[in-house]
Parts: sequence; C-alpha cells; structure tokens
Amino acid sequence: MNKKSFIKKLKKNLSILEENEVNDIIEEYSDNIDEKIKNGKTEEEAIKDFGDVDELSKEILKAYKINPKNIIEDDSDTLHNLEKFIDKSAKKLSNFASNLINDIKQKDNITLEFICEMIIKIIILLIICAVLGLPFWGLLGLGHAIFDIAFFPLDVVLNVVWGLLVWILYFVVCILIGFALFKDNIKNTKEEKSKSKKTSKKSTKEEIKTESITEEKSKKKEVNNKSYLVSIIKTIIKIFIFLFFLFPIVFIIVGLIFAIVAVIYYLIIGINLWGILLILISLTILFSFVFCVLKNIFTNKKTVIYPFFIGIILLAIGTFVTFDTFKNIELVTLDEYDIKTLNFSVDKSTILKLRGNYEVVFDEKMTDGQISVVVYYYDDYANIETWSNQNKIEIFPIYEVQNGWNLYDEIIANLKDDKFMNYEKLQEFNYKIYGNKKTINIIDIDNF
Amino acid sequence: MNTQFKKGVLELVVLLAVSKKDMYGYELVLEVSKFVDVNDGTIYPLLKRLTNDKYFETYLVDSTEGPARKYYKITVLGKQRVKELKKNWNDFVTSVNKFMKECMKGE
Repeated sequence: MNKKSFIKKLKKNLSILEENEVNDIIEEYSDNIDEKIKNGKTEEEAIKDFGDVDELSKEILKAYKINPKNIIEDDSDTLHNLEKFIDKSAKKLSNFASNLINDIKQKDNITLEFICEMIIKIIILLIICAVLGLPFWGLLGLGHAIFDIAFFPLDVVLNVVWGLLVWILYFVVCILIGFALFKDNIKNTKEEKSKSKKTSKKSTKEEIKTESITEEKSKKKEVNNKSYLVSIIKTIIKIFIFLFFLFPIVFIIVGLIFAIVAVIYYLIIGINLWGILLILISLTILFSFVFCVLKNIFTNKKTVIYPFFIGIILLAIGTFVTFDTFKNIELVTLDEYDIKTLNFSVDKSTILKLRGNYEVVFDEKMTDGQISVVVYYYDDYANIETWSNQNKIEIFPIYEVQNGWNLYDEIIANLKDDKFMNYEKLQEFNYKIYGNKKTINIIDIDNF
Repeated sequence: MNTQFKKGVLELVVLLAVSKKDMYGYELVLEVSKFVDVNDGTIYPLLKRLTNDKYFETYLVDSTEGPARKYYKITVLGKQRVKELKKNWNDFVTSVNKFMKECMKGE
C-alpha cells in the first residue's frame, strides 16, 4: 500500500468525523510518514508501522467514543470477506504451486531433474484439469438434459454445439493453467543460461556485482511469477463465478420477473396470490443482491447489505401469507361419475376400441351376440360418443372445450372461491363390459 | 512484551513521556519505542484519545523542514491522571511481586 491509498482509505473510514478533524489526523500521519522516509525508510515500511488501516481507523474512532463496528465492519468486512477469501486462497494456491516448482528446480540445467520436474508438472496439470473438469461435466449434463426436450433434429444439433462449446471452454482453461505452470519454467532456463554466459566473461569484481544484481533480479522475478500466478488463478476463479453463478442468476432473475408478471395478472383476475407474489419479489431481491455481490467482486466495489434483510423479511412474510392462503383453500374431491350404458350387437369377430380402464364381466344371462358397455365418466369434461362399422366399435370421449367448457376456466373459477379439485379425475374413463362368454370371446378389446 | 500488558501500560508511558517534555507525534513514537516495542498505529490513536479526554493539549510549531508540527503538552488534568496511573501501577506491581514471593516460598 502506498501513501496515497493509505490516506484515501483512512479518510473514507473516518468520514463520520468532522472534516477538519479528519484533515488534522491525516496531516499528522502523513508528516510521520514523510519524516520516516527522510530517515531512510521506504514508503511501504513507513505505512506498515501503522498496521492494518481498518484496525487503525477503529482505534481512532474509539478515541472519539464512536462504536466503530457499524461504520467500518458493516459492509467492508462482511462482503469484502468473500473477495479477501478468494484473494487469500488464490495466493495460497499460487504460493504452494510456485514453492513446489522452486523446490523441484533448485538445481537447473540438469536434464534428469528437468525431466523429473516436467513429469511432476504434468501430473499436477492433469490433477488440476481433472478437478476443474467436474463442473464442466455438470454443465454438459445439464445442457443435454435441457436440449433433450427439443424435437429430433434440433436436439442433436443443440447437443453437439453445446458439447463443443463446453469442451472448448474446458480446454482453454486447461491450456491457461498449463501455460501458467510451464511458462516461468521455459523463461527461467533461457534467462539463466544467458546470465551464466555473461558472468563467465567478466572479471571477478564485476562478477560479484552482477551476481548480486542477478540475485536481486531473480528475487524480483520470483515475486512477479507469484503475482502472475495469483492473477491467473484469480481470473480462473472469477470465470468460474461468472459461469456458474452470475450467468445462471441472470436467468433466474428474468424467470422470477416473468413469474411476478403472471402472478400480478392472476391477482387482477381475482385469485388470492399475495403470499406467492411476496415470495417471488423477495426471491428477486435476494438473487439480485447475490448478483450484485458477485458482480462487485469483478469491479472491487462494495455492496450495501440492507436489501438482503429486506429480502429475508419479505420472504418470511410471504411464506406466512402463502401458508395461510393454502390453509384456507378447500379441497373438493370429484368422485361422482356419470354413467352411460351402451349396447351393441356383435355377430362376428369385432374390435372394440376404447380409452381408459376397463373390466370384463361375464354375464351368461345375456343373449348371444349382445354386449353392453357401461361407461363411468365425468360429463362436465367430455361426452361419450360411439362409432361403429361392420367389425369395429369405437368408444371415445368428445371433449367439451368447443362448447365453452374449459378446464383452465374451471380451475380459475374454483380458485377464486378458494377451492381446488382433483382435476386429474376428470380425465378418467372407466368401462365395464358385460356379455356372455361366447360373445366376449369374439371381440377383441383395443385400449388406446 | 505481551500485547495485553502493553495496552494497559502504554497510556502511562505516553503520559509520562509528554509530561517530561512537550513532543510531537513522531518524536514520541521514537521515544516510546526505545522502551516498549509498539507501532505507530497504536500510539497515534492513543494520543488522539488522550487529547479528546483533555489530558493533553496541542499547539503548532513551525518547523524548518516541511509543514508545522503538532506538539502535545500535558494539562493539569493529565498530571492528575499520571499520578493516579502511577499509583495504580505501583500498587499492582507490589501486589504481584508479593504474590510471586509467596509462591516462591512454597517451591
């Protein structure tokens, strides 16, 4: 951290204080820093003496009897923790990787060790790629599951395109990692070779000088390599966040907004959906909040936290209201069927086509060549019609939608009265087929 | 030195240092860090607190190099505070020493 950013951060943390008070503090601190620099310290070191800026700001605010918790911790700590966490883990990962690399290549220019290093690196690369592959396979499976819904030629095309996309992405990530692992290796061997050539030509005095310089250089390079690795790992993590969180969340939010519009429509129609509306709004707020938090990781901005609490409160109220609404809905069971008896005379082998469950009842009292079919159905939904020719009898329902009756309207109407029925029964057709054994034997029942 | 110890004693140390001679921030840091290992991030907020509590007052002195320096000067209230803290410290040290002696006897 340099002086400028130190002062900027301090100013921000102390913004609750009066301006001249803040300026007074800043002036004193920057004097201290200047004085230290004059006495031979670097700017970095001088600032390090003040410790963590947030800690320092807290202490200063305490001197004014102000509780620093609400001011400094509030958003910077809770939300920036995620960013810090990513930063830390990325640094740790890169430290681990670069330490490993350094350990391996302590003695260079020897082919055997170089080969060993390469093998170990390749193993590391393979392991990393395998682990990184898992979410990609998930993505691939998810895509296939979605596209399988599509019709025949389209689903194949979509699946292939999707598969290609995921694979390309996966390979790009793998290549990036491989590049990160091997790049410094290639560079180092080249540079060290050139350095050794140079030093051998120079006199002893100069040799000492150049050695110290190269040492410094290699130190610097090490730092550069580390920060390079950190940035690569950070970028990969960010890409992951984008792909697996940010991107899906946008779709979720769009879906939620559509749902809200639909619910508002039904509210206008007169169905009591206030609870669900509240839940949907709260979910939209919460997802937008998560979206902002994740997005701010990219832009290093802070997020205000209060929408989160608003979302949670709305969700709780919405859940309660929904529960209350559903408790009041009356479940009506449809179990009264209408019955229709159809009689047919059959004199030769005949196909009887019908839709639904059927049961054959042998009744020897019935005359030969006579069958009677009893249909149990719900006549609000459909009418039973028959059609027959010489060797075929068909019994089928005619749905009454054309006549103005509509299942959808029925459900809406019922919901307005806080009622709900087991509508799936409306589509049930049950048959009992009566006839003597001889007659039944010549008919062939086709249940379609 | 233990940080908990340091925090407790630092107020006394800083008050004593300033009561001996008026000082500006950086001077004080140098003076105090001769005896106690402490960083600027602890000293400066403490100076602020002691000033806000009216134990110190400040005045500006033009310096030959750079901007004017803020000097800290002990107040009457501050002197009382020094007395009080000194007494607390001495009482504390004697009782701890006494206790240590007791314990040594038992060994």
